[in-house]
Amino acid sequence: MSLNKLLLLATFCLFSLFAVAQNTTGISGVIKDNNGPVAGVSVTLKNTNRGALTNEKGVFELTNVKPGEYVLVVSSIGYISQQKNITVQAGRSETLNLELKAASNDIQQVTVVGKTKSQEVRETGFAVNAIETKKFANTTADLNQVLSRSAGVRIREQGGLGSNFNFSINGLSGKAVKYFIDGVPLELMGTAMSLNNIPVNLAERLEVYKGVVPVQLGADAMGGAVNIITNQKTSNYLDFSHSYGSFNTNRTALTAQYGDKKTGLIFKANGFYNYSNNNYLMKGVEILEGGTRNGKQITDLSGASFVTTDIERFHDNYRSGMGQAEVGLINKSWADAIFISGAYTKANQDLQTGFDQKTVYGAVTRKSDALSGSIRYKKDNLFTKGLSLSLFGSVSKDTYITADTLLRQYYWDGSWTEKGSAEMGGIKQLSHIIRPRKFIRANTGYIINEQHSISINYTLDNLKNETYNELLTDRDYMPGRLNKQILGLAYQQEFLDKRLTNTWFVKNYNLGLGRNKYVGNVLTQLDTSFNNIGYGVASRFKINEKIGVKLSAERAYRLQEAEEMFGDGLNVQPNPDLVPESSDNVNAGAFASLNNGSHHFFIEAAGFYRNAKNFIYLVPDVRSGALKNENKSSVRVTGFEVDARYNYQDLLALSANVTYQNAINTTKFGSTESNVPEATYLNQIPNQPWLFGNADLSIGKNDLLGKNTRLQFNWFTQYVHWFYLTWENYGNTNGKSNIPTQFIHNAALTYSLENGKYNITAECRNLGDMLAYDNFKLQKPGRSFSIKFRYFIK
Amino acid sequence: MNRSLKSTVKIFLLALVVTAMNACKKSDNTTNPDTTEKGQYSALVAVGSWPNTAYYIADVPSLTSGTLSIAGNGAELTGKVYAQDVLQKDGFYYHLNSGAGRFGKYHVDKGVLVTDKEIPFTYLSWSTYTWVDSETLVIFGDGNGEARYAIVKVKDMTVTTGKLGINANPAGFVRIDFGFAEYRGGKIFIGYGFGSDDWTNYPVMPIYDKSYVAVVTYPAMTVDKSIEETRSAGMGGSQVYAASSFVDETGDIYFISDPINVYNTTKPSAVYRIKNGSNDLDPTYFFNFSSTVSNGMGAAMWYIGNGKAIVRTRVAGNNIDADHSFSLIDVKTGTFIKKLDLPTDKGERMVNAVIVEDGKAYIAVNAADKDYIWEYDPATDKLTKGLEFIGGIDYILRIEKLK
Repeated sequence: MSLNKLLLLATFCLFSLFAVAQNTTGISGVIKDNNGPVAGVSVTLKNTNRGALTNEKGVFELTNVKPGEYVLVVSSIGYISQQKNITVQAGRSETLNLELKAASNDIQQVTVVGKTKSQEVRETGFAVNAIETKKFANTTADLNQVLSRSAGVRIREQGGLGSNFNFSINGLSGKAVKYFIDGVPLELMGTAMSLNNIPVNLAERLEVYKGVVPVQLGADAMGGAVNIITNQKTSNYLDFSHSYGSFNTNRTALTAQYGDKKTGLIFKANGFYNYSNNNYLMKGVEILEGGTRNGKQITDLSGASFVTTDIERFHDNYRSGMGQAEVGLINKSWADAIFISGAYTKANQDLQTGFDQKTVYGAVTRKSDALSGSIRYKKDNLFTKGLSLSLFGSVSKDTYITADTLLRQYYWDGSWTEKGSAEMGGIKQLSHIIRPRKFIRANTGYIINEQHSISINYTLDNLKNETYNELLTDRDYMPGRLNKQILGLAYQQEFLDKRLTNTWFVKNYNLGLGRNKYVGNVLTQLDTSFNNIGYGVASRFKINEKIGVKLSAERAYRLQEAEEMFGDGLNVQPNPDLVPESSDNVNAGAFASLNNGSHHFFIEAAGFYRNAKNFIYLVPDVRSGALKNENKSSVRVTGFEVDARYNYQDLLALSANVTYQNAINTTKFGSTESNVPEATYLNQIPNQPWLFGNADLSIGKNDLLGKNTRLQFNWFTQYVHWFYLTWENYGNTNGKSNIPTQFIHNAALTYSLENGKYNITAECRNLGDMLAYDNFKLQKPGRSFSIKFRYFIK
Repeated sequence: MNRSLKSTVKIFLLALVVTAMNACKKSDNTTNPDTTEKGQYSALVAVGSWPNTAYYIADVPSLTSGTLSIAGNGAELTGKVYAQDVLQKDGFYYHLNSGAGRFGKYHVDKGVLVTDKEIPFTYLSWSTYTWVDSETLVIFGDGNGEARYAIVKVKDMTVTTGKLGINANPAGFVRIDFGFAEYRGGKIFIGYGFGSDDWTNYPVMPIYDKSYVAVVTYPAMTVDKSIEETRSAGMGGSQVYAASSFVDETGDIYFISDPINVYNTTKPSAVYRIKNGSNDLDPTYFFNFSSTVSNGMGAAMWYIGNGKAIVRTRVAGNNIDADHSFSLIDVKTGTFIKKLDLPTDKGERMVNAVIVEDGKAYIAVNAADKDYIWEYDPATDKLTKGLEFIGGIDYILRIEKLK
């Protein structure tokens, strides 16, 4: 089905739903104080689970209220709570306006029955996983480990802390997935700022957009996007934690904020430090026995033979750190918030293996460091009511060095022999990648009226890419340049008491690429530019307060990068014929929540469709040993996911999700010119998990071991069904390689004191010490233990 | 719970059932229809676009009839030997994996590539080879910028290694391009040249004008001399992918050059001869092959007996990924006979495409339409369709005679 048809169908479906909508019975009104309307006021119906927050005009709305007598409770921080009796009659809408009086003491705890921010995000039209990180804050998890528990997401890591990973959202992965922190690209902060080592404590919330990405995240995120949202509260807090565990793994995280109410001045500090030897046990790997040895060197291989053994990894140290300081002003007449920020990230990494376990490295290292500075500004109701502006600008420089300077072949016991090539197979290299970058983002929104609003997002990403091997030259004389501009326009409609929301959007991708090159001995400037237009819609219709359906669709692009088009001047050859990757993405789903007293139940099910074309791959050339990027293949993914969660008070929380995805190769013709479609045409793509799920159980009790304490136990299980390494239908089944089923259990026990001020957690990952693989049978850590201390005040 | 929630639950349950059924379907697929190999011939084929390209070695029951499909058939190479430079002799396969530093000997049994032995080997990356006898393989290649060799006793995979004393690299030309290699009567003849790794003007590369044939005494592996040659360049392609030389019944060595393969765009592809008993290029013999095939190039060459050879011929141009045809030449007299009336070969640049059995040549052609092994009978000058590769194979990379 073409995307146009789907959009048509979607529109049709949504409009048919209008017919189902009925007359509403509800309560609405405006809450003011002596200065005017107050936003963010909690309005709840006593002894029900119904509630709402006032908007910027002080307006609240409670729809679909059953006829009857109610007590309306109105409360907000800094005001005296009020209660009003109200009678709701069938088919009538009640209006109630109130004026709040300031409370004498400044801060007052208020329980808001409204929804959490995550729940609000879940109930937008976008297919999105919204994850509160609070429940993981006492664990040693990094963001990948948190995200990998969510539906539709599969992260394939190559090893322990800091190892390379491939992040897949509904079957699309690699460069099709983009990462953001508070809406700006994560990579601005450098290579070390990566999901595989950012501690969970730095994030307040995580959002995973699947296939259809809001214009606010201005990027060519064809397969989806991950947005890390940090603590945006204006209150003071300090969250410091340190953990120590198996393989000498240390993780420290700090996030703190101090604000001065009078001046509106705010200081923020964020940082982390990770260190691990990653010296976990490798099972069933080969080492050499025999030969003539001199220390670790095997000087003569005569008589040496491979034997299988279990042995610890020996060259996999990982160290990374990040420090960020921010200073800013809030609540000024000219700015709701303005901040300037500086950050430094650094990572040192030893590489232990190549793409499989047979390729052992013993001295290859990678280092990266990056410095960045940024400024951000936000103002709502700028010049006129309903107009908002948010600006972000940054300058950064990321340096990345790979060192492969020894002509050696290493073995799993750390011994080595001389080799005819460098460890990674080519010539010796000390290769530098230097990326100076400028990034600007401007978001502006305008609320036309209750029903209609628009927003415009513009991003400019200007990047220079220098690549050179220090052993051959002192710099890149012909760096690649990239200038990416994305302009997005979104129009949001809200109908039927906000039960129906539609967000229509278009994105214009403009890409300019350049590199100087010698063409026939003449230095020539090669440049090219592209323009692509993507578009989509995200809709949600709430059938009633509990149940909603959503549908979203987008034609999305992943633009080429400078080195993909022009080569890197080292090993990657140019390919001017590259076209962008593109995909038609559709999601359709439904959610339902059921709240019965202290029982909270939420279920969301969704189907997804991706039709992705022209994936760009780096393909090696047998003759020259050089690499070249080519538009190689096309994939159609269909699948579904189900996510269910249940809470009982703060005692019990259960959640489970399962994802099934069927990725079909739609590359009809291969590299050879042929009238016969490839054998693999319409076959399931190999080497990809297609069935996986997670289950999570937490049980905790307050005041069990003393007043203001909490004891919490968490159990987490992850299942990935086995899959073939190569095409299922081809080759004799006797000798087919597969990645076996993984069924991994983890457990943690947390004891918190003084209402969560002091926390200590003991954790065990991979309880059964199972062999865990993600990629080409590259083993991941077996059973590990850790302990984490966390100090948290607010 | 209201009606809509019930339907949601129903959908969820349905989804779980579908998933479970799918899961069952996957696990059931463990039996195999045909696990016996006739063991006469085999083919190494590739399917699937990058990065999911997979290689298989499939048994070829007959060259002259039937079909070959790799649906449920063929020994999978992924995870063991992920390559097309797999040498075959007497039913055993040999591959050098330089990345992992392993040299292995394998055979196929019941559809599985079985490892007979893998030894650690890090001394060189192979480019060319020759068999001294059925037990002794000599391989050549680059190791740390040097020309190196290894003598491999394949019975137990023991190796003797050393440096090959060929000419030193001229300034600015760090690559050594190895060409053909042939063993004859205590001498190994090996073609070589020098290349640049300066990609600045790619695809225009700096060219070193001289090419050489080294005469090496076996088993001492001393280089007696390097014969200099400038009329052509690229003294045979990388032999581990396809043959570019042979020794005929009379002991004369022939090899074909491919200048485009070493980025030399000005010289013709030519056939050379080293007469039996001589350690020099035959001065009376220089067959300008390009001039007979509209400036095409000889990518690979096989001897089919009675002084005739088949040349896999690439169309003129600087791209080595181009169409190929098959030419019949009289190698003894150095004359072009004809272009065989076969479909255009759209296959890989280097294909071990020809085997000879009972005086007939069997030619694998990767055509745009259907892929066949064709029989060419030199006695009757007749081409006949034989085995058909069915099911959409991307590349036929090698066909092999196992016994």
